[in-house]
Amino acid sequence: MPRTFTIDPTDPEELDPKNAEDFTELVKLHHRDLLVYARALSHDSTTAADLVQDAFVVAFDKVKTFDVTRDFATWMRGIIRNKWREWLRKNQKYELTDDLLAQIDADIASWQNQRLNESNSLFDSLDQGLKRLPDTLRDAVIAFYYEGRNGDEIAERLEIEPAAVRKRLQRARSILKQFLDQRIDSTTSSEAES
Amino acid sequence: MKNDFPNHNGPLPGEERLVHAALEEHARLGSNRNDDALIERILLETVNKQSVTEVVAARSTAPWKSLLIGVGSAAAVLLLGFFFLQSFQVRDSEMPRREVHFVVQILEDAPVDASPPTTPPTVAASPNQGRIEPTFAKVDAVVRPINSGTDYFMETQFGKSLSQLPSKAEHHGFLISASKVRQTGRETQFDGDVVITHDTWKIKAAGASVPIAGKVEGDSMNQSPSLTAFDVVVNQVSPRRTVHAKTLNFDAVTGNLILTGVQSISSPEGEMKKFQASDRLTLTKTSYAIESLPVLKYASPPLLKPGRN
Repeated sequence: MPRTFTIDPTDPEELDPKNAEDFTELVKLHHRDLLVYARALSHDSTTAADLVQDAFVVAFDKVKTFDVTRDFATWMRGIIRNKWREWLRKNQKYELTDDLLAQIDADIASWQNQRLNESNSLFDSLDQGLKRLPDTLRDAVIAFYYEGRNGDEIAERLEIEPAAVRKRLQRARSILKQFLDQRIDSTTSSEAES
Repeated sequence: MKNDFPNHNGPLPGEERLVHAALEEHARLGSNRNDDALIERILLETVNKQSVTEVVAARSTAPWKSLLIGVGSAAAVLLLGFFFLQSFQVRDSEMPRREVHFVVQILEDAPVDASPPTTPPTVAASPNQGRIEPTFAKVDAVVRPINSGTDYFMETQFGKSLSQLPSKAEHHGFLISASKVRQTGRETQFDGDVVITHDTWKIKAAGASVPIAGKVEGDSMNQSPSLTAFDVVVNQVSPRRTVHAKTLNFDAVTGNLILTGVQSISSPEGEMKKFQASDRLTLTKTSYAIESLPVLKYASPPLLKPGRN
């Protein structure tokens, strides 16, 4: 039967993956951040879902080896990376450079920490960032990501060249990244002051 | 995923890549919603896996199987229900996906008619299989969507005749993705790059179909509501096997795959390639069996030539 999942307000750092109920909470807590991470690595939504699912299955099977003093999210990202490398080998896809992989990993880790500390998810921050984008950029982002239009359709709609659409999307992603980084920095500095 | 724009054939710049993924995920489910289908799948393979195993074990010790062989005794009734757990199609860029769950529920100690049957029990058996098809109770299924918006669940409710469902149930969950999904009168059809994921098997197929929940009635009740697929490659991780075949049927009662038009089967023991067109391969979680069905031959009718009486 269909079930609706809600996140239990228990302190996430106290959840023990060796306990079945806690493991369930950890799945609910982390799956979407990990989907973003897996999507960034694989560039494919279906593959990302498979990677996340497989990673949780591996984590569950090997949960006895998990060191409770370690961060569960970090452990999961490591498993996803390994699963992604297996997928790359099987599918002969291009690979990220180590530097880029490290950068993506650091970014998602910062966002995960921010959510744990502030109860403010990456997606909440993204909401706020989207509101601050200039209209021209936001229109392109909404049309491409949220309405599923392709470049030609957006170009026709906005009466600009497809290359200009591409440029606007790049600019929008860059501004959003800066905005998200600033939010993380401000959280970190306010924590340091307190 | 969008195919050609912007720059999807190669890596995005590093600083944009995670934001791009986050935007796609945010567009898919918003800020605060969970991917319930993914959670369900993960839990089915992790914390809830044990309970499924227990059900299977319980079934193997139950007397229903032998009782079914004598269908007329009616000491057990096998009820086969199925429902679409979830159906979601988010955006053009996403591969359409459906999650299909077959639920086999076993009614034990069903009322037994003490008087001898006046007519022999009707046994619907597939030719040359030596296997008796179970009798199905009628399912008054109602399908209604829960939630609105881009995601929705499909729930199957059973009618009064099945109000006392047993606690025992065996679930077979499939996640099906394909390039195209369309619904005909009685079934959902999947076409193009079909990928069917199950606990035991990962199946790639050119096409597949499943009956629509709540549409199984009348004559169809004599058959298992079943997943079918064609031009399939079945992969099993443990024990490792790969099967290429023309057609596949999932038997929800036994939980086995039935393959015909088998082209090859490879396993750690080796590869087999020579099969008759009439051969049928039954793939279980732990083993497989090949049945060679006898070829029926008919006498050639005399040739009738026009103009000669």
